Amino acid sequence: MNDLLVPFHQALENPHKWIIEHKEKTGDKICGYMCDYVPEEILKAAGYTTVRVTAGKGEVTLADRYLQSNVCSFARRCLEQVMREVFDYLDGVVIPHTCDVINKLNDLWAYRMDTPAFLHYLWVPHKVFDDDAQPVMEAEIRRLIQTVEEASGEKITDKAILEAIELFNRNRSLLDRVYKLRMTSPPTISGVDAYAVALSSILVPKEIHNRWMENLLDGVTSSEPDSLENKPRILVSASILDDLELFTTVENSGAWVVADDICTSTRYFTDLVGDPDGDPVKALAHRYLNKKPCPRSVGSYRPRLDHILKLAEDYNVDGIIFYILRCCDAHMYQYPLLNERLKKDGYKVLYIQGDHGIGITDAISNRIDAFTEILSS
Amino acid sequence: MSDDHNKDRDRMRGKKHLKTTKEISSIVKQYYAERSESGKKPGRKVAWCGVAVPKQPLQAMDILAYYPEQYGTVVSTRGDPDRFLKRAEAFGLAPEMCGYARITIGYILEGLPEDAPLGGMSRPDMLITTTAVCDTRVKWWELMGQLLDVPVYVMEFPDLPPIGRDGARVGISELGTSGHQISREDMPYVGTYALKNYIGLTKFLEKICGKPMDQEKLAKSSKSSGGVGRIRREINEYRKAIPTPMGSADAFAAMFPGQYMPGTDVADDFYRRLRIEVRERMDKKIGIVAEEKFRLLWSGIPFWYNMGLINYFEKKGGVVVIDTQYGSSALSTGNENRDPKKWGMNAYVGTVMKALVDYNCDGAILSYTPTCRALYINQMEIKNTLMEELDAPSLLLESDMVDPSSFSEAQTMARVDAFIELLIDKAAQRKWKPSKVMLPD
Repeated sequence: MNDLLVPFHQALENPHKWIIEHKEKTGDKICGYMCDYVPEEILKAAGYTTVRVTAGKGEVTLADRYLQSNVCSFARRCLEQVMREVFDYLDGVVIPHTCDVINKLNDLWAYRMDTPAFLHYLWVPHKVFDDDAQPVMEAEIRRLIQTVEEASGEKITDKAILEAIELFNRNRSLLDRVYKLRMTSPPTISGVDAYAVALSSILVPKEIHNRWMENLLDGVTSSEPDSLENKPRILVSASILDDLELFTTVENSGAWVVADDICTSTRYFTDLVGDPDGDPVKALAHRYLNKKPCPRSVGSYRPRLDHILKLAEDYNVDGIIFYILRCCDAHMYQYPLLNERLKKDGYKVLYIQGDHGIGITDAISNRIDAFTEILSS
Repeated sequence: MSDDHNKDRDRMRGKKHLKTTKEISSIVKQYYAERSESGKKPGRKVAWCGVAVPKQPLQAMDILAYYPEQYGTVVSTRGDPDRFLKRAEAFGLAPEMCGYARITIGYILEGLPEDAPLGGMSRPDMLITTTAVCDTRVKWWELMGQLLDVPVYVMEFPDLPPIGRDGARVGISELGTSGHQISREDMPYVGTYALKNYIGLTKFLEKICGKPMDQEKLAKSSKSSGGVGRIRREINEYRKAIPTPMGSADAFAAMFPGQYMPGTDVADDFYRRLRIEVRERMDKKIGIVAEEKFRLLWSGIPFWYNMGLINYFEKKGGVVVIDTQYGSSALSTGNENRDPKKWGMNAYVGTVMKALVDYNCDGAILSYTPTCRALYINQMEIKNTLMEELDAPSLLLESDMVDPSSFSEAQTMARVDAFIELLIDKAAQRKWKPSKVMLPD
């Protein structure tokens, strides 16, 4: 592995340990958040380091009393970790209304758990592309500012928000550049490495993460561009993926993951916050409503399809893998038509039903091997 | 069809006890027959709507409304749900997805066949739903819009959690919304946004129909719906009586006109007559069973293909007194003898807790529809909270609401029998005093 990629992978080896050590070293306050509709810039402006609440792998025992196996495994695992006090290092958490299950997770976390003391619910309109949604989202961001100020005791200034926007936009642009390293044939870095960079961005403070990416981009540019072999090129579309197992399995099967449509990567970082023009809250509301949508949003089918088609074309993709968590309704309703359309456009498509706690089974691995074989031939 | 199959169907068919509710079957038939005829007339606009869509603007615009969820129950109780369920599955909709949605999508993919139960639903000119209760409906409606190539209007109907971390606040206003918390004092703009969406719905209807909203008809329909709502609450009030004059076997049937035809003369007439019958039964102390050994609450969607399950409790001396899915609010609320410290994590849980107290129930049946994430998560919490706060036992019964293949009868009945034994013991040692029935002026 290129030395410049080591810090990203190290952070992901044990994410909780990494962030706890960072907290102990720096004294940073840590605020967790769920899904990619929470304007982290506000939390950053109040002095928090933001960390996405993720599920990790493992069994579900304690959370089974509240969320049983017909609920998405991501939410079950998140609650399990909350109940096992894994997230006790959080000084606050913000939970948006994205889907039914995350909404109920908010209710459970708020009612059943005592920590963290600061827990905020953010209502996100379903009709994200509706003009009338913009003032509502702005008002919700202002309510977030108010509660964060009360919790942190810090006044959030426009200047601090503008600085946070610049920092986060820089992170998004750098991630985009790292991702583009796979546009070449063969790709300059592997899919596993690229995804490690993206995934660590939801854990590592942006200042540090930006520095790591700047080093990586400098280093990679000066290295040999065609060190990797030509293999089938795959795009992965998923609801959420908080580890490297799927990418590793695909690449071990003899293919490259050259692009992805996941809420912990391109749906998270692709769109920048536009020119604030004196009103950073307005700019943030616009960005979060109009970013690459989660399928839960009204009118999200077309932009999602366009996003996938553009990635497939730009990254010269041969096949597409949909990795959808069992019981993730929003994704399951959109899949049949996406599948039909992508196949019509000549792409080979593989559908995998995932379970967050279990991960990649032998059966899934075998199906991926077979898919890669088809693409190779 | 085999004799065994017919026997099964008879056993699973619910038995109604009231005269008025026995008319429901013909009201439903008539409802579809009229729609089938009118829907084919040129110029008559047809909408497929989610249940929470306001009915009055559609009635004012003379739009013929169908409710795919309701049609799911029609297919389930009068037809062969497998025909559409299998078609949806072949299309790529997994069995763990909402049964109502799979039936409707299967019906569309089959080409809206005329031999569907009760003639099916006429081809729509528009689709309308809200974001209330579940997000699934939004995705389901959008998918139908793509398959049918018709415009879709989604009405934002925010459903908010309570403020703070102490859970639900329960008052008469919360009960009136069946657990939907549409606004909060710290988020007034959300309520404003919902109102804008109501205006948006009007504009959408005007555009599709090519005419302005008939304000006079709208006012008339709204007034009439309000009247029906009040009568339904009055009927619910009488259900608190011991013995209860009307149980859920009748109430689930009786919800149809109020849910799908408010603002019509049929609904108005039906509930006026039902009120008289329920009141008379209460005054004469005519119950559902000879002696009520235990009283139950039903939370969640019933298993439409097996409504006979509700009657099973009656054979054991119990009665399902109240059901919360289609509204349990009455004229009054409260029972000072059974006042828990907390009402649960959200208004849905609170509404069920409150109904259990108000209607003097000993325990609850929680229909556990694994395909319905939004309701199901609440059910688990209702079970936990009922026990913690009211020491009231509940039984989770698992099945999809319209897919009979998901129902395991032997296992279910063994659990029901064990639950009944527990409940009879508990009811015999009641420590609470019943709440009173408020008689209207």
